[in-house]
Amino acid sequence: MRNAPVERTAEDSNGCDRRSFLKAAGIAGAALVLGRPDSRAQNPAPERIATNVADALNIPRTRFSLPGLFPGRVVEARAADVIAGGRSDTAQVRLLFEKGLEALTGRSADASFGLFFSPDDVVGIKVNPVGAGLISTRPETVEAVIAWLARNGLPKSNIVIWDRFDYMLADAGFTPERFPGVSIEGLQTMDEAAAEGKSADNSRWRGPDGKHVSAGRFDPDRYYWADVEAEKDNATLNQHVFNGRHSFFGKLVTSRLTKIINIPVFKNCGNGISMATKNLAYGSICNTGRLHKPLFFDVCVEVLAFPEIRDKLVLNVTDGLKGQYDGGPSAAAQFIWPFNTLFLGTDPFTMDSVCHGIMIAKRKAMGVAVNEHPRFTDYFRYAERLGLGVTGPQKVQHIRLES
Amino acid sequence: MRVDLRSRPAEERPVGGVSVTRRSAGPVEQGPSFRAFTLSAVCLVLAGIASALPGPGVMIPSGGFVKGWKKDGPVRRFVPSDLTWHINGGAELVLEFGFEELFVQHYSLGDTDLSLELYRMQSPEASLGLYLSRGGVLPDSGSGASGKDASDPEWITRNPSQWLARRGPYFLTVENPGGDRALEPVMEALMRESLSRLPSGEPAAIPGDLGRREWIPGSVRLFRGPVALEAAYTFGTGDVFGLSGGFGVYGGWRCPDGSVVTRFHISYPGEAGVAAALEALQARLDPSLRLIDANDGGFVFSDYAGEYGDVRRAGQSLIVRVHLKEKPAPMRKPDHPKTEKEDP
Repeated sequence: MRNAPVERTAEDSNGCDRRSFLKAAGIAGAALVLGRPDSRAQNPAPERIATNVADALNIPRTRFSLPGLFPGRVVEARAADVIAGGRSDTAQVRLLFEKGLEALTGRSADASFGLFFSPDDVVGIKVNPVGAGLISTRPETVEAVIAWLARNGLPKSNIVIWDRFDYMLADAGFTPERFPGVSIEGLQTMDEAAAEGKSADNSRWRGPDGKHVSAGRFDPDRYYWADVEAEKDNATLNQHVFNGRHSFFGKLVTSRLTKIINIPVFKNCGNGISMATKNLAYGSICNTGRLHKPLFFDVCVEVLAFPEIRDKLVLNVTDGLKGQYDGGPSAAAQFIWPFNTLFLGTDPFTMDSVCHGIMIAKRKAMGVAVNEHPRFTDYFRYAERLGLGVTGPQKVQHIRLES
Repeated sequence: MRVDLRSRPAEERPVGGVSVTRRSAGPVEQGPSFRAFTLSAVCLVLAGIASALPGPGVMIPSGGFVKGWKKDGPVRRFVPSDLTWHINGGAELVLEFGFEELFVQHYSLGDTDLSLELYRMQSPEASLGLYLSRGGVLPDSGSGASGKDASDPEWITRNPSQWLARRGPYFLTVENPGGDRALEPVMEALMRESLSRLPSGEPAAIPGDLGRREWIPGSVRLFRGPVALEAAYTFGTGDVFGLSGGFGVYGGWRCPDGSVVTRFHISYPGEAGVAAALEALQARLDPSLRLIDANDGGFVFSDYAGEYGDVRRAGQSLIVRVHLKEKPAPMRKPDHPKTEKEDP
């Protein structure tokens, strides 16, 4: 699957470091020694890391390929008081979703179904369960989407709510009791106690053959390759299933799902955001810890360039019923507010670029320092160059609905 | 107002290239026996400190702060090597400030629950940095917080979902994920009970000129390295200000004409330090910043957004302003840096 690695065109970025990349992320600055460099040439731009994105770009596109049926269009649907007392009103969420859908497609919600799906499809709903209860994808939003799908003939047995990690889903409210008939799956498991060093028992994540018990859930033939590796220790393997330079797509994504609906949340990730593109890019593959530091935002583009995502992702619904404007990607209660908004679109880059702008405005309004260095938005332009998305205020159709 | 690091024990001072004390000391040859003795002494001191620290059994309330509320599960402890398992995204900032350990305890009554997080940081300044980064506000923002004792229990910030507090090197949060306002009295009781169990701690040294009235309340943050600094502006990579473990301050700053700029204040132990830091910063500027004017007193630059910024020496400090809509006045060469009063 991999041809010669290609040089990326996006700038290096230093997005939000997560668990396994902290060591590398935090220490770099301390190594600088005061002194007088001869010139700025001593600080050239960091060398770009080769990846196999060219392989993805060589694969012919379909009519569903990103940026999807409505390139450059995003609907921002807002209704007052959908969130009340910390809880959301299921009926209002359904109404908000369907109004947004109608504004996106120009058809009724039911008529819109046929644009994206047939009853034979197996639809994966990618949620974000991190920050359960505070800023995770709200079950009410997922219920609204499932109600629409089921009403239009998609069997519930053809619906899979999924995330990369299985143990987070129940905490975020995605349980069989709440979603009867729907499959709820993680691409992999992870033993937190072992990863934290609080248990010496590795048998819950490592099989007798020495491999991660979830290794078989990833497709060895479909992968994102990048010329960077993480540490080869137990904690890393526990969390990331594989070491090395390959990040394999989950078999759920490559083999079972025929369509994907992406339901991220509206939250910041340092100076950037963690919304539509990150939810799928880091939630569809394994061995991601190695990618955060050197390739953070570029992964949000390049993983979505592979047909496993590019040709199956037909709808994004960014759950902004609550939003978080600072402290992300971890949940930070003091920065969460009732935003009462859903964003809908087929083009995740359009959506993220619009949401990034809204996030910047919110951060400024709340007195949070904002760094608008181009390195935090270069990936939108990179996606556009690859033909995956439409961004930029002159090209984007931003439809606002208030009710 | 700025930190006078020299007033603190030498071993607590930032170490690195900008430390006048360190530079003036010069290299000293030390034999193996001296080094072994020093190492042993340091180990003994550290062991003594560790044994003197209260444990979770003392610091974490067992319950009963409000009738019926009990511990829900065991207390969990995290140290620097495993903090990322508790904070998935953002732990690097905590580590950069100077993190020692974290205790997490959940409490419940029926279907309602609260959680307490107690961070022990390396210093009162580190806990202040974390407190501000989480949205904590100064007790008398904008009117001079420098006189406050770090152990003052009024260093508390309240909102329906989370209470924040700090005392000495400790930073605490009480979290109410549901945001139910009816639980606020319980949150307060848990926070008060937790604070009462902590050592009083030494007063915080307030970095920079944090006591000045021009700071915009709620906007002030500390930085100790690239992670915190990057949140506000990209000057370059790494420790571009030569903090070497010290703290700087940034935030919104109201100018005499009423406009607001983002301002950074970094103090150095001496004039040699500030001169070296200025020189290094200029040499390491991010490629997106264009130098317009420079001399020994500082420099002016333009940025990617068509805005301007300037960096000026003011005594033993660097004062940096960014997001200036108008091009600043050309840099004035300081004839007598020792008596420089300019404070833009």
